[in-house]
Amino acid sequence: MKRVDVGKWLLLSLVLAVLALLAACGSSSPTVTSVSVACTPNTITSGGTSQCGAVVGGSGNIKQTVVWSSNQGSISSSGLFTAPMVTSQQRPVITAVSSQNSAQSGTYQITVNPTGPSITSVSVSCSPSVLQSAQTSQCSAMVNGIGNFDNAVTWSVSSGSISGSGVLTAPIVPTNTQVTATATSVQDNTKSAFTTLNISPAGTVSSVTVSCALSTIQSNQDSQCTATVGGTGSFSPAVTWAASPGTTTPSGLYVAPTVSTSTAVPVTATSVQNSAQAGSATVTVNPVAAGNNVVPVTVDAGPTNSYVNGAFASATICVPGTATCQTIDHLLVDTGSAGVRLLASGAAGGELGLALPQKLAPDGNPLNECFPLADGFVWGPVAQADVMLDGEQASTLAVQVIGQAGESSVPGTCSNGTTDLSALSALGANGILGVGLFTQDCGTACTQAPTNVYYSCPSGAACHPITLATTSQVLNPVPFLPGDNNGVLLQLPAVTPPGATTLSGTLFLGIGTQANNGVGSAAAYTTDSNGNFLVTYNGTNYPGSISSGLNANNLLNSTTVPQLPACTGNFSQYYCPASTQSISATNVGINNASSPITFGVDNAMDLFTTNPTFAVFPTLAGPSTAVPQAFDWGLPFFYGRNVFTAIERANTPLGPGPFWAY
Amino acid sequence: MNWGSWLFGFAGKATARGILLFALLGFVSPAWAALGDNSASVQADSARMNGALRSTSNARYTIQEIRTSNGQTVREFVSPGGSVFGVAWDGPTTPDLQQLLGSYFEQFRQASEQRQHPPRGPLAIETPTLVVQQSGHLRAFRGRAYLPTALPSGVQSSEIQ
Repeated sequence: MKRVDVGKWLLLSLVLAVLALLAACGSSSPTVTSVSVACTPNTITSGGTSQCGAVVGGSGNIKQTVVWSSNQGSISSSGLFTAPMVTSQQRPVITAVSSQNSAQSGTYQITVNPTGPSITSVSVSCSPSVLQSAQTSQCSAMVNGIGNFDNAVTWSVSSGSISGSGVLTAPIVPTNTQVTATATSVQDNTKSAFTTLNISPAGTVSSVTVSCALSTIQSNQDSQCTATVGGTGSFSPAVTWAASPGTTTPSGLYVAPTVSTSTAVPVTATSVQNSAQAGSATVTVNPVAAGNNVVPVTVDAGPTNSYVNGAFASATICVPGTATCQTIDHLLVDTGSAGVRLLASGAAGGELGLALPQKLAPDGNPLNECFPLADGFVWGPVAQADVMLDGEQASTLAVQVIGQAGESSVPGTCSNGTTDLSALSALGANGILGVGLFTQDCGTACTQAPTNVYYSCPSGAACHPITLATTSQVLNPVPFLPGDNNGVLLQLPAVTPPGATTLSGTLFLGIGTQANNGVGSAAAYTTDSNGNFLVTYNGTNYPGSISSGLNANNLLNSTTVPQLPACTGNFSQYYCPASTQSISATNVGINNASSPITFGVDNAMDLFTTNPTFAVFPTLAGPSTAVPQAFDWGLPFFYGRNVFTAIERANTPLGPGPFWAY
Repeated sequence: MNWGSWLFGFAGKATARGILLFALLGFVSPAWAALGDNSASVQADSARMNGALRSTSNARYTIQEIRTSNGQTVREFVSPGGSVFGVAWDGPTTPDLQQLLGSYFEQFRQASEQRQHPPRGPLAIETPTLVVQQSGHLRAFRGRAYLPTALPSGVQSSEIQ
């Protein structure tokens, strides 16, 4: 560094100060009007330098000093720009701001190339750019770059196909359609370009024929229809569907309405390319015959040969609209929940082997459910199925498939430390037939904030809880039957204690809709919106319910009922009184209807030990465990009673649901 | 003079609130366990559950009740010494037990694994140091968890509800 003479500096400072004073007082005050910038050289490579200079224009006694800055790289106070390290071409902007008037500045754009070969741009053209269905167009890409760059591109197209050499084959379209062809640099996939082609229909549509998988169905059932379009040349096979009465989906699934007489319904497909061409097939929709509402029920030890007090029924499950069906036995009949849950075959040990179409969450990802039970949960996809109970079908019903191989792993918020019951050994049934009080399993509790019930499961990522509209939730099949859809009657005969090996009964669909499900002298006990009524014991009211899916009467606890001590060890879920106890309680509906119930409770360990082959135990009871204490009637309540379960808001001879009646 | 009033006097009301809130968040944010933990975890649970907090006290314990927008209610029982000895819940679905049971969750999980299935019935985990019970169905679950050996003197387990 050069030594500076202090004397000279003092003199220079004095001169400058005088000049500044003169300028300030005089008529020629400085006015900056422009700053112009240039850098040499204007193209450099990674890490290189370029000297920039600025000329300040204006009038009066202006200064040439500027403040330098740049949006990339760095620049010294004397204007020496140093380029950043780049992997593709960059255009940094150099700015000089007048130190006298910061409102005045000038810029200069410099080009920085990577030191290796790089791509600067890609452009695309296709010839011809206007063509017909199935015709071809040659697309070519121009790749610009620096150094010894790679000019290879990969091709993609929004519809139709394109070869590696850029030969585009137009899709077969029913109407004028735009297609985009894109070329992307292999060396630098951030560099791409596209062009748009216009495709018009070609060929001639001369016929449309329709066939439906099921030509005769019942009210509310569905049939998958397919259209075959004939013609010449590159015609489009696209069709639109229509049927009346009833509805069709864009994929040709016809869903019948409820009919009172046999109705022949034409299901019509019309060519989109030529609306003068249409075809139809007739689907005959018959009303559901009386007596098709009888579902046999068995109380037995179940598929694991270990269940006690489990009521099981069969249902026929079909891929929607097809005759691809499977009958699943030993579904646990549960008046305490809503929804059909089917255990998959394979490792889970269930029976369902059909590939049912999975439903999607609102975000487009697969939809899964974590269905909570008091002592665990079941996990698996929500799918669509036709569910046939005796002669009546709930069509395209949202059901849950549990224990399915290859399914997303169980989220921690779902398992919650409780047991995964999605296997035969834990569930003890091939599924659950939830025919309780409500139409959806979760209802509005799942619509407000994400809960640990419904999950969106993106591919390759963890599932996350979502809110789900009630219409998209897993559904009770009963309200979606063509008739007999206001509830069910579960009828099981009385059993003399200590019990029996098995028991046969019936699940009747509908309440007071046919000769076989009349209400007779039964009274309704209505529930609140959560499905609870009251049970009075010893002058105190407890929340209560009636659930055929509970295998014992689960009532109160030993503090409240001292004559009912809990069993020990693995049987602590049951009561083990010293001798048979007679307990009296009163069911009280929200409608104030009441009836006293007296029932016996035997020592559970004695029952099991003395009767190892029994699956039916009318005097089995256990604590409700939870506090506030509750009084939940289980399957023993049903022995010897006709118990009706009425769906919320459904009309019945006993008034609208939700209620239980007996 | 306590810290709160000192801060109010020193920094003015609005700033003091900000400082107190900041201090509170800083204090509770690492913890979101409850059972067996100190009462600060109740605040964390409330924040995590995005719920409204209501507190009621008697001579033997304080009940901190959290209500969430989707109908879940959690009541945490806090001893005079400031530790959570019981939790009770009811609501349409099951609460986040890992959050509520805190360091006792693993003990619960292991005991739960050893339960016999089937058939379907209420959940009852009873060990000398931890009790967890739950019954009900989707739309109406109820349950509780408590530490039998940590109940304040004179408190019956039946009060945890």
